[in-house]
Amino acid sequence: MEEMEFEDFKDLPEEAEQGTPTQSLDQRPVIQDLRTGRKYPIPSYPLFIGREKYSSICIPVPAISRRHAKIFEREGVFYIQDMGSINGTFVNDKRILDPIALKEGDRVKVGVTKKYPKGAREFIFKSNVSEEERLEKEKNEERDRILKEVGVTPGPAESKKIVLRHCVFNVAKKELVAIFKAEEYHRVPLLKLDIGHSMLSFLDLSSFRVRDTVTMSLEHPRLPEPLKITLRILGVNPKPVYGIIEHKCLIIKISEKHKAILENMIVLSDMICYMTSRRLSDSIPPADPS
Amino acid sequence: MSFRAIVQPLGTAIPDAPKNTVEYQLELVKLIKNQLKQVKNSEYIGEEKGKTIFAAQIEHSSFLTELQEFAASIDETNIEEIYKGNQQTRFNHLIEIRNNVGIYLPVFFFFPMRIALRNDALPIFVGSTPKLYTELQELATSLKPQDKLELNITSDSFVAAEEDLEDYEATYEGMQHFWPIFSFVVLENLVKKSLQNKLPIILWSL
Repeated sequence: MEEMEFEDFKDLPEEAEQGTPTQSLDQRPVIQDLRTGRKYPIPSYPLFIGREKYSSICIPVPAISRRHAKIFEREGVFYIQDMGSINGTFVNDKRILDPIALKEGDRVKVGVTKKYPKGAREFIFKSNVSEEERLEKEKNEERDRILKEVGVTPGPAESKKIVLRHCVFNVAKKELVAIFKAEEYHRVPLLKLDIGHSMLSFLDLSSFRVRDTVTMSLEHPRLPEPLKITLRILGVNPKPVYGIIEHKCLIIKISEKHKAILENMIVLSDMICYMTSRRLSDSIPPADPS
Repeated sequence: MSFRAIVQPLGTAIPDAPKNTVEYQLELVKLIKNQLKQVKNSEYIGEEKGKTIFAAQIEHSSFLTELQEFAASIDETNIEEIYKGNQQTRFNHLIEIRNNVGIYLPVFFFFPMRIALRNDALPIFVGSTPKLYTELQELATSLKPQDKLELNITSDSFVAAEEDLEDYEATYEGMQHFWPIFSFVVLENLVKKSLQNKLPIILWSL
């Protein structure tokens, strides 16, 4: 723990340090809350810890001052400074009076009081991405550079995969008048997607009829465009509560382009169980008043 | 900054709200009904007239945050990624409400809605109390809040000033997941009142 002396606190940087603006937040050092596990990347401008709602790390408890401490970068070194708080800021259990440089694994504690010793919040400083991650990133950058030089652009298979459970599924009834009127999509929970057998099932609150043709739109922010799948309803199975209806469908159409995106960019996974039958029966009141 | 929540009809004026809020509420009700009609073919939003059944006021600006983070962690997701739309969660009605501002209706629907009023920059979060209740029940298996925390909740209100929160912290010093359990108990109480009386919960921060 090296102490750094400043002649005047006014000398401390408030603006972004030059030379670091291109670094994205996921490459920045982080300060991790040991209670919640949440990681806060330290930006190129000062990060404030305090009770004030505009603080980067807002801890709304009385033991924390409105502006309690700040972490900032100067010439590539990260410092923590107590902002004159009543209960003090501690680094590795030592109260700090002047700004000090943070090292990998340093523990920062705020809100330490005699009355509520366990009410303190503790953070750990992690200086950067691990060496392994850095090497992997360099390797990928080198590969991308070579591919670019020889005129090859990585295809969807090279991209980071999207997990199916994190996609959003919207459905709309395919109407003959759809040419004149936009289809009204609404979001539904998907239960099962079996591309091999061209089968799919989803839950909904408004019932489609057997033999209806339905368009499903599969969406995720990282997909180049929503994937459209045309379905035929094979069966409807009403559940006992809330008017939930399970729809079993046959996939009747998906374009080659969208099928390729689905196969190359999406990892099939179990779907999220938005409602379990056990929890449904526990709910009060047992049925929707509507 | 304090967290406020009331259980009352959407057609009744929010206590201490400015006069123009009434028009705002009526327009909001209309938009919510339209959206519900698309999602579940029903315009029922709970009782539309009546008085406030329950009110909560807690001097804790990020009241729901720690419970939301706890829920995200047991679901192996990250709140920021959920907000960006990169991840989905089964606790969507609990996590997707941001900054403690929104409305929960006493009717079931799977996914929270966001209603944009003409003059408002940010859409209003609209969730479902039956769905939120099932999420809380699911969370209870991990959080195990039963018989752990006794809060001074009366039949029609719960008020916790900064000093009260300090006292609760002191009484339950060392309790694992104190803040998530605290939020859980308050939220569960609001949800039960909402379901039993078929009334929405309105949440905001002051």
